[in-house]
Amino acid sequence: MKKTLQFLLPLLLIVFHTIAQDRTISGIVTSKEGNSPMPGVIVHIKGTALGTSTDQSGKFTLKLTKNEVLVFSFVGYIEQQISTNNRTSFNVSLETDRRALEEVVVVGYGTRQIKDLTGSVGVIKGNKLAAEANVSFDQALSGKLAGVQVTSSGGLLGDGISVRVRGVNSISGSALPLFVIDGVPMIPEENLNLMNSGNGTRFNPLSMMNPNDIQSIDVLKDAAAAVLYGSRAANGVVLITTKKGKQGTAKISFDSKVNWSQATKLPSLLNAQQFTMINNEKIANAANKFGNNVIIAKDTDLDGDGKPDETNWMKALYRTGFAHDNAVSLSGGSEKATYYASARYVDQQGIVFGNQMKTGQVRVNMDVTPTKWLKAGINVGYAKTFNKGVLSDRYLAGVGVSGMNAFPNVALYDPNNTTGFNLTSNGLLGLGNNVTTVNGTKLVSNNISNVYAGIAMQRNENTPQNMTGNAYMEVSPVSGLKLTTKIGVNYLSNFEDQYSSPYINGLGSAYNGMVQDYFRTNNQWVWQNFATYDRTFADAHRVSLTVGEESQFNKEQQTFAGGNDFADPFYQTLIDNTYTGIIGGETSLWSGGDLKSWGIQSYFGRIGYTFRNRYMIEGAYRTDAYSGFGIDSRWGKFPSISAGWVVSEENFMKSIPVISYLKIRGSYGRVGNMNGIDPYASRTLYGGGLYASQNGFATSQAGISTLKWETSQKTDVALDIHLFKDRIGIVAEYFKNNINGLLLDAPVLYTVGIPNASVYTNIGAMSNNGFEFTVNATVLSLKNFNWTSSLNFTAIKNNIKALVNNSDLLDPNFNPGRASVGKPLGEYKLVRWAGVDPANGNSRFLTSDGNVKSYDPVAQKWYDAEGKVTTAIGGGDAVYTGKTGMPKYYGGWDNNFSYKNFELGISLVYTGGYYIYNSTRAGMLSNSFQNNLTEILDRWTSAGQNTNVPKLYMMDNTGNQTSTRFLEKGDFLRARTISLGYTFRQPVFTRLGFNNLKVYGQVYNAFTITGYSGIDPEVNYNRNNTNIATAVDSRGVPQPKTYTLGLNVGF
Amino acid sequence: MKKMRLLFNIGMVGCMLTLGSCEKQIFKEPYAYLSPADAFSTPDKISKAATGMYDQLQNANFFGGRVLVYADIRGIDAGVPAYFGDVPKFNTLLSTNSYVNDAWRGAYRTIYEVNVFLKNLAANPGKVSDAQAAQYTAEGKFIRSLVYFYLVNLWAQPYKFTSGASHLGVPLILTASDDPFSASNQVPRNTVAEVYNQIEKDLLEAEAALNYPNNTRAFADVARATKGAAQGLLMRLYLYKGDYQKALDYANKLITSGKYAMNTDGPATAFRNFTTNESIFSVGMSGGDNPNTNNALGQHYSPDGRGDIAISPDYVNLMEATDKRRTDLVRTYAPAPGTLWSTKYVGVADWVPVLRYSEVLLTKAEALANLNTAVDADAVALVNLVRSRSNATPIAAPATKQGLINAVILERRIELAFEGQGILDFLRTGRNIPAHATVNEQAYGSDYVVFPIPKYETDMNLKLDQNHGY
Repeated sequence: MKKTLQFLLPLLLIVFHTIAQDRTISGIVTSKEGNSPMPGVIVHIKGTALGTSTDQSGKFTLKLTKNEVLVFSFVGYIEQQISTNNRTSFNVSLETDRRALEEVVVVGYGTRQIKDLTGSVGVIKGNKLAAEANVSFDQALSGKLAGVQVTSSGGLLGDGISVRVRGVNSISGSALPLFVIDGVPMIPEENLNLMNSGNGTRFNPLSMMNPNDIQSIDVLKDAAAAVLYGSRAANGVVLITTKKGKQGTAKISFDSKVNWSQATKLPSLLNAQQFTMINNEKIANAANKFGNNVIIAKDTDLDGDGKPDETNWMKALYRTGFAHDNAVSLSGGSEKATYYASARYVDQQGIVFGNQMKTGQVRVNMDVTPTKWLKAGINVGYAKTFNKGVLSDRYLAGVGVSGMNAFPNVALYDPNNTTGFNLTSNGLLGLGNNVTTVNGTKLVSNNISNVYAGIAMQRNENTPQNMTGNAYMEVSPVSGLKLTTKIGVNYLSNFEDQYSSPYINGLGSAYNGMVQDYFRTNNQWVWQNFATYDRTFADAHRVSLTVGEESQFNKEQQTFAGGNDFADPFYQTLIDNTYTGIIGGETSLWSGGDLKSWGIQSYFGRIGYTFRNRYMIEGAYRTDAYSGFGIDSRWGKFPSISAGWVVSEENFMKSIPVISYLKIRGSYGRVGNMNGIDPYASRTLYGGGLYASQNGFATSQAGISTLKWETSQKTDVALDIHLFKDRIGIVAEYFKNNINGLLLDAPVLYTVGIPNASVYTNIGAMSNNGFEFTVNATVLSLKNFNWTSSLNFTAIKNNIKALVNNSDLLDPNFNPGRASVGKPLGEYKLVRWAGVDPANGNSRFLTSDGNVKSYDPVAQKWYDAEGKVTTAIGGGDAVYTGKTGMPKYYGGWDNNFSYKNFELGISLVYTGGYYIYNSTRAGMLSNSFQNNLTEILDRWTSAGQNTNVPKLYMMDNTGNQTSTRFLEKGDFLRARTISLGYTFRQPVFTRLGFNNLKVYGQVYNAFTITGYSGIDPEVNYNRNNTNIATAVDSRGVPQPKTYTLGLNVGF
Repeated sequence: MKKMRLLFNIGMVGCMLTLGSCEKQIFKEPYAYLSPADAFSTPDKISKAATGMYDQLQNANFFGGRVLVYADIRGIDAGVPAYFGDVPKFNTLLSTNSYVNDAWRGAYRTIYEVNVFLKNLAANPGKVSDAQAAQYTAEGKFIRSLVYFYLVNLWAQPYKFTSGASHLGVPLILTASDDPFSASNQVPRNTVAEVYNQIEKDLLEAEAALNYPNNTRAFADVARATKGAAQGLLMRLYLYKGDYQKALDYANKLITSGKYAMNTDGPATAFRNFTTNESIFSVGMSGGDNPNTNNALGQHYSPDGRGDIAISPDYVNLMEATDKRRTDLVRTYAPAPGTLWSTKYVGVADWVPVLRYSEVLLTKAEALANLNTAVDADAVALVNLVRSRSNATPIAAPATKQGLINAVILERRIELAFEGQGILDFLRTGRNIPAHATVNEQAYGSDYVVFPIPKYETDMNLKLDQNHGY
């Protein structure tokens, strides 16, 4: 940090130098098409901010010091640069800019110009990513593209994200799109952590990508665009292209930033006084069970300072995170070779105590063209991360459960404890004088850990490494024909290292210290061979052809080693002769692992024809075999057809000058999905079945031998319109996605008894229909002020059409979240809450037929509306609520303002039409002895009181049972980034060799507007990538609000 | 990396020769699994598959220990532990309860492993000797019987609830289904009598085919099914049916076998050394069976583990201060004054006790007490045999037959506490479950003394009737 500031100071001093001007030039600017004068054209001296603009008759005058380069620019026209060369008068004519249409997008096994495109592709350019100073590239995707929903699942470093292209297109398979880097599919792994079943710490390898290296991100959304990745295209394809050097340049660029982050919002919990009052009231109201005048919450003074102990656990566990991020890149090239190389080091301290991530990244991309007909290249990227994880979410000893439940009337530290922390002898949080057992009944439901001590004394670390590389050769024997062979490798490994202290309750206390280490490696290679032919005949008929073959193989090995019963707490890693491994008198064998592999074999072809840039048609076909499917059913066939008509090229359109470009396009095709399907999913298998000290085999899965591809029939109809000389660009698309043969890890009757009570099968169908709308506009373009705006909107409707036996599919973590035939995915089926009875504070619910039943915890009885004793509200009283966890609409709105050298960017994202089940709130209003949300202060206390919190009653949580009471609207609008930058354009920098010099500040997650009462409407989306109940708030870590300062220097 | 390069080379050559041969390079057979045909291809492998049935008996949600916990926390001596939500609370228990759901699922998972083993064994005739086949079959049937015994007694009203036990029990699944989605899997519940008859039939076959354990006990003498284990479970089955004569006969078979005895050095020994002559059958465990387990008995009962279950002061007060079952098997825990813990389970590697010899003695006492019209002196002696082992004062002969029966049942409550007998001893004897801790009295025969059938099952199988009241 200090270094950065010192570097900045001298530069700032030079900024205000002035320059003498001694020569006057003049000229006129006209438009090439109409040959008419153009007023308002900006004329400036290259590399400076000096300049002027043309007057009403297109004329300008300007003073120069020497022979400089003039730049003529006007929105919608191609910029022109002219060397002055001692000339004093200039006649310049500007040409309409069609570049937006000539830009290329990356499609499968090649590129296309946007004007030739018949499929649906969303593109984000790398400079747009760079404009938002995010540490990880996926953060910047959010809200940028219509149809693409990106949500971060929490505020821990390296945590997973969810990317959904046009809704959720798979139920039990993974709904994550296929990520492809420079044409090579990435290993489809979303969480590298094997321990704690994903509820402890998580690490997503996507966070290891350097956003500075990205040239562009192309998202293939429909069948026509995606079919060449047919095998895994059902959820969309995200193509990441890394940067290449440019011929004839040599550049160095430095990127340096620091940031500070804090939780966007923390839960509002009771303080020590409120805690004491509320918990004593819980037991006082339960006097009929626990006796009269029982006081359970009592002050403690552990440190002997004469004052009762008090701890604000949220303040103790959350902090201001700090990060610094430095990157350098070199790029350039000659006529025959180009290069790009980069290195980056990031060190982040997260918002939760103990959470840290350090990453080093390097990349080298080389392309060589020795002769006209031969081109070859090698692109290699490597990243290594060190991640200190923190237990969170549903994990009992984590920040979310114990951290929130912890008593605020006890201390964090205990000077008399060997560890220095307030811990009991069995390693839990010491609860001091609080009385936790009354009449033999324990009042604390879940053991409460001293989370701070746990983080300080234990270890949950990841050391992943990721290498992605490819080497290719392109031969062009005749004009238009290219033969390409490409080998891609992805090597991903992780060393997961967990230490549990004997002083901390859990594995450490049970095993007298325990170390568990997992080492996993994942090797993937892809080999592609394809030929492309692209030629235009007679200036009118353009033909393009692609045929090819691709093989992919992935092998994963996991090796586990552990040790327990350590010689001394000094030893916290597996060191020879420092532990016995003895538990229960026997030496345990702490080692294990797994080994698996899968492969995909594919053949593909594509043929396209374009007539006079006006009519275009394309057909594509791909066939893939995946080893996880049945021997006779593993080949899937994926055809598509698409067509486009550029209406604005027709003569009758020339009379409508307001429309500068109009294209209608459509596509129909079939793509597949196998993501998340186990490598041997179709087989019935026996695996290891160890019985204590005896070796055995037991059935490990049942399989259906005809298991096959899940297929999506995608239809896309779109309109591309440019108005007012391309000043406004609109894309409107309708899409329909019918998914058949849904791969379900389908639930089977328990009485059948097969492993996991589930089997992969192809029963099920659903559809996603929707509409996408994108507007890109140059709102204002003045001499010194420019305002561009980009808005996107996606509306989506899901409908489940068929399921196994047509019975509901329940989310394994949250049963009320369902897939039910005829309903949208994720619809909640819940018992309806009918409020608190103002007369007596009892909780009330509705039966399935709408009658009120109320529950009296004192008598432990249910009453009907007439006050007669009745049966309990049961599972049968749950009804479909018509509300789902899937957003009905979402999108983003970016605005960029530039004034002279200043740039202001405001990026908003919004999501709506969905409901969150606030399970955190349900748990934090508990009647057990624990801390609560301040909402509990509204509890019913006297007759006639209208409130939503029932009368307190120790240990009875019937009122908090799963019901619509905790179902809340999730809609939100979030200022994703607000950034302000200043670019130094003064000529002195050009003279010093600066190509670019920019300082900026940014706020990420600046503010959120939502009615949701929990900490974050985005938290806990798709935890563990469940696709059914996606919006369950279950004690996640809120997202950070991050303040960044950065410096960008290019030479 | 070297290996990878090799793969590339092979891949290149292979693919260049013919397009199709690439598949051979990338479609590999599993490294970690066997096909059913492979698993039953040799006597050695078949013996491992037989062991696998016990691996599945260790199911974390059933006989890994949880089923014992459920029987006890629904009794009166293990408090009302909040960790288990509504399981110990009766009238707020719902058919969607995840503990009940997982236990039911775990039970049928174990049953499937037995059924699929029997099916595969039959499909591979002659691979093992007839004697071996008979042994494995008997072991499988013992495991299946044990699971059905707990299933029917936790999910259905007790045998004596209707005459002829004609009320609904649980579905009997005796063959492994080949098609997970077949309509034939949708079966109705069998009656309690049918389930008991099947258990009896399986156990009688097992008893005939199995041998008593070796005198010098090893792992398999306690942790795998033996003739003694089958007899012990038959003894308990007859006691639950109220067939006291047969219960007595089977208790006597075990006593006269000379294979079993109580440990003389006190009641704690059987919970520390798992292969003494006192243990007739236990589910074996090791610390490594699941290092991340949350479900081990030691985790639930020991404050050094999760410590979910504190025991009731009323239970501890049943015992005199000198009773070794109080001095050696109960402790208080300093940081939380007033909390009492059982030390029957102290670590994550503790075995799950199913049948102990003291149960045989007390079953004999209960049978004699019921069969004799007067106060049976032998029954009194048997109770005192159990008591004196733990240094408890012998009881005087009760004045009435009913007094004796009550004394035997009380001794059972003390001796077998936290070993999965809790609620079952109330239900089989037709008694109400008294109010305890925060729970009100639950009447015998009332709806909530039995578990609900998981809603998951009744939703998918319309032939499956729900228990009344859920």
